[in-house]
Amino acid sequence: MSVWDWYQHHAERLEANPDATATDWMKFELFAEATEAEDPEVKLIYYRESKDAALACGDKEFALWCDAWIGMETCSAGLYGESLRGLMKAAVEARHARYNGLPQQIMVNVLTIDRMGDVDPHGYLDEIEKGVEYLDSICQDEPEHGCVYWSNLAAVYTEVGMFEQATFAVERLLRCVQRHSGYEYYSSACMRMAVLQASLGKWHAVLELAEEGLVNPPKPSAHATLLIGRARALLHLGDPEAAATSFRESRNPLSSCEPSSLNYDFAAAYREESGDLHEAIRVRENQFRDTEGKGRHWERAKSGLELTRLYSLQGNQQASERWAQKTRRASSELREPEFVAAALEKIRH
Amino acid sequence: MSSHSSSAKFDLHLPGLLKVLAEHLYSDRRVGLRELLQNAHDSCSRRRIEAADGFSARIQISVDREAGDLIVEDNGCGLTGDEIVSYLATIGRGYTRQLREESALTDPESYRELIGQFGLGFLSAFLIASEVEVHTLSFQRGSEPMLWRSTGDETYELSPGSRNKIGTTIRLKCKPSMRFLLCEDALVDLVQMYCDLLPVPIYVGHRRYPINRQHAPWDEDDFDLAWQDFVESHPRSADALWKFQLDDWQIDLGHDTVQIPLSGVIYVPSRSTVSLNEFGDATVFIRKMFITDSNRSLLPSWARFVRAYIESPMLQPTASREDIHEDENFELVREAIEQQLLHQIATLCREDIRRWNLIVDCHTDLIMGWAATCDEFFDQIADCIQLRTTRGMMTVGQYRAECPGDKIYYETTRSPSFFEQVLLEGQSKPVIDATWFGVLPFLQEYARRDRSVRLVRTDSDLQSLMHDVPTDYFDNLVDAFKQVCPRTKIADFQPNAIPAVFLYSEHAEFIAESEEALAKDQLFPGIADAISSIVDDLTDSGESSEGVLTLNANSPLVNQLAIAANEGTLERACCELVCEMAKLFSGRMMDARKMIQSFDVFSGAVMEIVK
Repeated sequence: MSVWDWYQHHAERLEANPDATATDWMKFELFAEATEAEDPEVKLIYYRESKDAALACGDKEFALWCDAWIGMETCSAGLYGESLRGLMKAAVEARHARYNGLPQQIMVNVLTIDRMGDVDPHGYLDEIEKGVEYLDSICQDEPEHGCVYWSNLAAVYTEVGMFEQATFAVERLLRCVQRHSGYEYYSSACMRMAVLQASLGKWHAVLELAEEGLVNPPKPSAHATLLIGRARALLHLGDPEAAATSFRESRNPLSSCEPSSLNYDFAAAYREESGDLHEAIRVRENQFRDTEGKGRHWERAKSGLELTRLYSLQGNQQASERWAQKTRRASSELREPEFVAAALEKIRH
Repeated sequence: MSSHSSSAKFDLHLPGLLKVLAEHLYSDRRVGLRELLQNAHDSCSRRRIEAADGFSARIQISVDREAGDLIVEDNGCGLTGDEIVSYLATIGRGYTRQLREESALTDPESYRELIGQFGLGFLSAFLIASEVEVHTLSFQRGSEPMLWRSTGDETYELSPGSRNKIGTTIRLKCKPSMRFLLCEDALVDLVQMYCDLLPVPIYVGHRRYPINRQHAPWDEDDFDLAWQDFVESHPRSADALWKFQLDDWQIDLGHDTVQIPLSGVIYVPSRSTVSLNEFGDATVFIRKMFITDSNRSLLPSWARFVRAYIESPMLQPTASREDIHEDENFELVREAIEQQLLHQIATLCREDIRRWNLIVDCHTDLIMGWAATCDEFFDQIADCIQLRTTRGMMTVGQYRAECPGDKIYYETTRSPSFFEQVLLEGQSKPVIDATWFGVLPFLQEYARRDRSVRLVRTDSDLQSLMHDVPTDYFDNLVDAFKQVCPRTKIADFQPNAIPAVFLYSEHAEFIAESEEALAKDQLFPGIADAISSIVDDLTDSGESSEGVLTLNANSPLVNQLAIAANEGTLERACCELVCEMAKLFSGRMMDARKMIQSFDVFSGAVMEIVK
C-alpha cells in the first residue's frame, strides 16, 4: 500500500463516517496541503501541524505517517542530522505492535537507513547492510520500498569505493524498479547507475544512462546530477561545447532544491575535469559552508578533504594545510574518523 | 521512401477539433451562457461606437419551456452574411479582437470595453445546446436578415432570415443535462455571477428591470454608498474591518517607469481562522466580465488576511476565460497591488492606528504566520502583534517592559516539561506560547532585527533559574531523600512555595523507550545497532532516563524538613510524599502504570504520617 492508496482509503473512510470531527478533517487536510506544497519548509510546517492534530486526537498511526514525511522533508531542506534524529525516534515508536504490518512502519525504517547513508556512509555501513538485508527479507512484495533501500545501498557502496558490491546493489535496484510502475524511480535508478559508472570511468555508459534518465526527469537534485553527469561524460568523450550546455542546464533544477552531496561532487568534478581548479575549489567551499550545523557530517568532512587535495594540486600548500586542519575538526563528528585521517595523510604524500 | 526533405501543412480533423473546443475547453458548462452574453455585449458596444444612432443597448434572455429553448437576444450591431462566414463560422478568428487591434492606433479607448478575443466563445453554445439558430440583421446599410443554423458538427446552414430589427437572436435547443437553465432563477444567478458589472442592461423573462447592476462599486463617485449596496448581494465581503479602492499605480523598473491600470477593492474580512481556507484570494474581472473568484496568486503571499476584487486590462484571460495567464503583465499587476497595499497599510498605521490594531488583533495568527516573508510588512506589525504568554496577551514591547533584560522566553510543543514555566513564573518572567507555527518565525525575525534580544527556550535555561547552595546544612536532608530517590540534590530557586521539582534530561523519554525496545529486541536489525550506539553516546554525556529530585533551599517546608533531618526525627514517609508529589507534577515520563505506582506510594506515605 503506497501513501497514496492509504490517502485515498483514509478520505473514503472519513467521508463515510458521519461522526468524523472537524479535527479529523483538519489533520487530513493539513496532510493533503503538505503533499501539494513544493517548498520543503512549507511542507514541514504542514506536516508538523498535521502530526500535532493527529496526536491531539489520539491517532498515533496517522502521526507515524507524519513522522516519516517530516523525516523526508527535513532532509530535502538539507537538515540531515535533524532528519536522522527524528526518524530514529519514529523508528523507536514504530516498534509497537499496533503498527505491525502497516506501511508507515516499514517506511520509517527504510528512511532511517537511507538517512544513515547520507550522514555517515563509512560509519554506518554495517548497520545499513544489516538493515537492508532485513528490509529485503520482509518487503519482497513491496518493490517501492526496494527502490529506496537498494538505491541507498548502491549509493553507500559507491561512496565508500566498494564498486563490486555497488554493482550488485544496482542490479537489485533495477529489479525493483522494473516491478514498480512510474518513471520517478526509473529515472532515479538511471542517476544512481550513472554515478557508479562515472566512478568507474565508463563515460559512454554514463552518457547513455544520463540521457535515459533525462527523458522523464526525476526530482530536482537528481535531475541536476543527471545533467552534470551528462556534461562530464560529454567532456570525456570530446564534446566540451555540448558539455558546457548540459552543465548550464543544471542551474534550473538546482535553483529549486537544496543541492545534494552528489550535486556538489559532480559539479566540482566537472570543473576540475574542465581544468578549472579555481571553480572546483569555489564549489567545494560553498559545500563546506552549506553543510555547517546540518548534521551532514560525511559531506562536510569530504568537502574539506577535497579542498585539501585541490589546494595541494594548485600548489598552495599553506591553504591545503589550513583545510587539512578544518577537515580533521569536521571529521570528529564521524563515527569512524580514521578514514579521513588516512586520506589526509595520503594527500600529504 | 525519398531521402529529400519536404514540408507540408497540418491537416485538421474538424469534428474532433470541434468536440474538443466545444466540450473540453471549459471546465464548467455554464460558461456557455457567459460567452453568449459577452458576444451580445460586444455587439452592443460595437453598434454604439460605429453606428452612433443613439440606440439604447439591451440584452434579453428568455425561455421557451415547451420547446426546451433558451433565447438570448441583443439589439447590437448584428451580422452580415459575410461576417457570419468570416467570424461566426471561422474558429479562432475573433471579430472583437480584430476590431481592438485595428483601432489600437486610432481610437483605443472606445474599443477597450470589447471583451472577446479568441474567436472560440460562440462554440461554447454547443456546451448548452444540441442545436443553435442565429437570427440576425446587421446595422450596416443594405444588410439583409440572415439565419444561421448548426447542430455542432462540421457543417452549418446559412439562409435568408426574417428578422426585422437590428440585432441578433440566438435560439438554443438545450441539451437534457442543461435544461436547468430553463428555470429563470438559475439564469438570474448565473447572470449576476458572470455579468453583474457589464454596462449593458440584461433582462431575464418578463422582469421589468435589468438584473445586473451594470456598474462596479469601485468606479462610483460615492464609493461607500455603492459598496454598501454591493455587499448586500456579495455577503462574503460584508462587515469588512477596512477597505480601500485600488488605483492605477506607477512601478519603477529602474531604467523606466510603467503605469499599471488597476481598479477594484481590497478589504479585510472581520475575522479569520487559520486553516486551509485562509484568505488572500481575489475575485478577478477583466473588462467588467467575471473571470474567477478564487485567484490566489495576485495578492502577495503574506497578505492572507485580506481579500480583493481586482480589475486590470493588463491581465490576460486564458482561452476558456476561467483563469488568468501568469505572464509578465501579471507580475507587474501583482507588484502594483503589493506596493499599493503596503502603502495603504503604512498610511493607516499613521492615521488610524486603532483600526490597524483591531485588524491585527482579529487576524493575529494569519498575520504573524506570514509576516516574516516581507520586511516592509513586518515593520508594520512587529510592535502590535499580541502574543499569548503565561501572563496573558502582550506585545513583544510589553513583554520586554515586564521582563527586563535581553531574554525572551518561549515554549514550543517540543519543550519537555511544565516545570520550567513554573520556575520562570517564580521569577515573574512570562513565557510566550510558541506552539503555533507562526510564533517562532515571528520571534526569530524580531530577534534578527533587534540584536539586543535573545530568544530562550524555557528548558534550555535551567542553569540561570537554579543555583547551587552550600550543602553542609542540608547534608542530612539530602541523605534522607537519597534513601527514596538516589538522584537527589539541593538548589536555590524561586518560587519558595515549591519544595521540590523532578527534572529530566532532554532525551530522557528517548533513552527510556530505546532501552526498553533494545531489551525486548523490538527494533529492526541495523536500526537497533545505530540506536544502541546513540543511547550509549547520550548516557556517556551524562543524560539519563532517571530524573533528578531537586529540593528547593528557599522552601519553608524543605527548611523544616532539614531541621528534622538534622535532629534525626525526619520520617521516610515525608521524603516519599515530597518525592512522589514532584514526580506527579513533573509532567514527564509518566505512563498510566507509573502514575498508579506513584499515587500508591503517595497514599501510603500520607497514611503513614497520619497513623
